[in-house]
Order: sequence, then C-alpha cells, then structure tokens
Amino acid sequence: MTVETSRPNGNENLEMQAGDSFRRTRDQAAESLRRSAAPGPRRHGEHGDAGDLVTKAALAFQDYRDGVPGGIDRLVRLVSPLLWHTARYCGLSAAEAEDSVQQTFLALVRSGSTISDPLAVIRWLTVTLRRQAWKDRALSAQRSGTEPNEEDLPREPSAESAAVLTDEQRRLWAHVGALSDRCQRLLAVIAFSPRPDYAAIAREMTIPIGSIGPTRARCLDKLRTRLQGEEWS
Amino acid sequence: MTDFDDRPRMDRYDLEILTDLAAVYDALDPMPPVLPDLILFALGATDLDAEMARLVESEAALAGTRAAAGVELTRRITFSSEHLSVMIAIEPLPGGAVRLDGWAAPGAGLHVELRTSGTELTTECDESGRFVFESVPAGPAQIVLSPTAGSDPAISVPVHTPAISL
Repeated sequence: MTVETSRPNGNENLEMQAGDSFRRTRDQAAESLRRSAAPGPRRHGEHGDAGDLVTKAALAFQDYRDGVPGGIDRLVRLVSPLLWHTARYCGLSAAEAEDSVQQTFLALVRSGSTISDPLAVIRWLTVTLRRQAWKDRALSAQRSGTEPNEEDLPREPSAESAAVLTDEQRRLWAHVGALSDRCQRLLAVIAFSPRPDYAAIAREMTIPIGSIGPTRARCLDKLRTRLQGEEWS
Repeated sequence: MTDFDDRPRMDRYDLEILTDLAAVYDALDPMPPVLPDLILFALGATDLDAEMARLVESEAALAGTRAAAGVELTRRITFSSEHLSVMIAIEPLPGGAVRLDGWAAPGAGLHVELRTSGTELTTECDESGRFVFESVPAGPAQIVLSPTAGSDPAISVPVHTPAISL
C-alpha cells in the first residue's frame, strides 16, 4: 500500500482551488456559494448549517487574510470539531488527534496563502488533516513494527460512554452498528463533512471514486429500511 | 470547487439521519473543549523559522508519592522532531500549579523557554539534557528549545512543541 509522505504544498493545493481569481472579495465568495449551493428542500436542520459552515469558515478565513481581528479565532472555533472527528475517524488517539488538528491549523497559517478560493478552506483543512493522519499512522506503525492497513484505519468512538445517549440515539447507534464496516465508515465521514473530499475517501477506503455515491446511497437505504422497520413493528 | 458524482442525491430524511448520527458521534466522542484555545495559543507563537516537534506518545500514570491517594495523575508526553526528542512529565501540585520535568536528547546545552499565557519562564538543559520548571501555572503552554554554542550542532533552529494543556 502506498504511503503518502509528502506534505501539502502549493502544487498539491491546486486541486483544491477553484482558480478563477487569485483573491475574491467577500461578496464574490458569497455569490459563488449561492451558485454552488443546492436548492432549498434538501437542506434541513443542522445539515442546512453544514452548507453554512462552508460559508462561515470562508468569511472567517477571508477576514483573517484581510487582517480583521478575530478572523482566525472564529475559523478555529468553527472548524475544530469537524477536524477533531475527522482525525478520530482516521484512527488517531485522542492525544494524537489534538496534535493533528493543531498541526493542521499551523499548516494553514504557514501556507494558507496558496488557497485561492476562501470557500475551499474547509476542504483544504480536512484534506491536509487526512494526509497528515495517514502519515502519522504509518510512522507509528513503523515504530511498533506493524503495517497500517485498511482495517485499522478508522476507529469507532468507544461505546463505553453510550450512557450519554438518548434512547433514540441508542437505537440509531445500534442500527448503524449492524451495517457493514464500509457503510459505517462512509456514513461517519459524510455525517461530519458537508462537502467530503471524495478523492481522499476513495483512497482511504480503497474503493473507486465513482462507487462512493452509489455506496453511500446503498448504506443510507439499508439504514432507513432498518429504522422504518422498527417504527412499523 | 470540483464536485464529484454526488448522485443519487440525498433527500431530507437522509440528511436528518446524518444529522442525528453526527450528534451521536459528538455525544460519544466529544472534542476536548480546551482544544480551540490550545490551537489559538499555538498560532499566537508561530515562528516560521522554528521546527515543530510532533507528539509521539502521551500517557497518564499514578504519581509515585500520591498513588495511595489515587487521585493525582502524572502525565508523560513525548515529542519528536527531526533532530531532537523531548519527554516531559507533568505533575500536579497542590493549589493548581504543576511541576514540569523534561529530558531532551541530544539536549546538553539547549536553552529552554516555557511559554504560558501569562508568563515566559526560561532555564537551561544540563549535560544530560534534563530541565525542570518547579512551579508552572495551569493552562496552555508550549516549550521552545533553542540551540546555543554548547549544544549539538545538528540542532540549528529552535524547536517548538505543540501547545499542551498543563
């Protein structure tokens, strides 16, 4: 299995750039989002906010670049939870995940000027984090003398603390647990990433990029069937 | 932004399920609330010339003398950069402060700064790479080890640890 060892740099970031203009104004960024956002009915509840997370992060990032006080503060507080869960689901321990999220923001401060479109900042952060997490896991496997493999890539949150869940959440969690590993991993990624990086997911899960959409649909169908079956019983 | 094939599109019920699932993960495995503050603390010190050490290992162990009480934990954290390894032990003191013992390798002669939100403490590594901060206020902190004339020539730039919570 190929281990990604390179650090993100300007050239790699090109894939994450929309590339129209080097520097967009806030209005242009907002307009761009309006064009790319899907129309109304699909958006709902907090997932309506998932699209907003991209916009809010873009605005905070643009403020940071423009030297507006508090821009970086807003960006860090907005995006840290998403990056934390991404790191955990990449198989990092809690301490490693903390370190990894911190390194990711340091990388942004050091090389974020290569991001031409502020709307791409969340994708840039999650891609950078995933690359680094994969590299860290390869190094840690090297130290312990074991090869990293696909099976131990994602780590589910400990169910020891299931006591914190509501009855409804416990039911959902049980149904999710009955799905295949592949479904569980994919649903976890999609639940946290408003616009997941399909190329990275495909590489991590070793499935073709074209299969992700259909796999996601199959997994959600199975979960819906289980949830609805329960409601009717 | 390039969108890869996102079809078949998710409907409202799919999104409700995913929202609920995200809430389950948040409840089961919440982000440590202090993390954003640690990140902002670390960003406040970004020195583009410095090398950033990465966390290698973190463990908590019962402190020897306090094991009987079974409450206070000493944390040991190991960091590593290209030319330097640093291990620190953080021992809670009565009153909320901590004692920080460190070992750097190759550490002889390195100058050590401990950045905290209120103060900056400094000391030097002894010949064996050992350094101590007897009493440090709790909160975000970061260690910076800088080369001197007497330190290993392989270490040519200051090395930062990530920000940690003391």
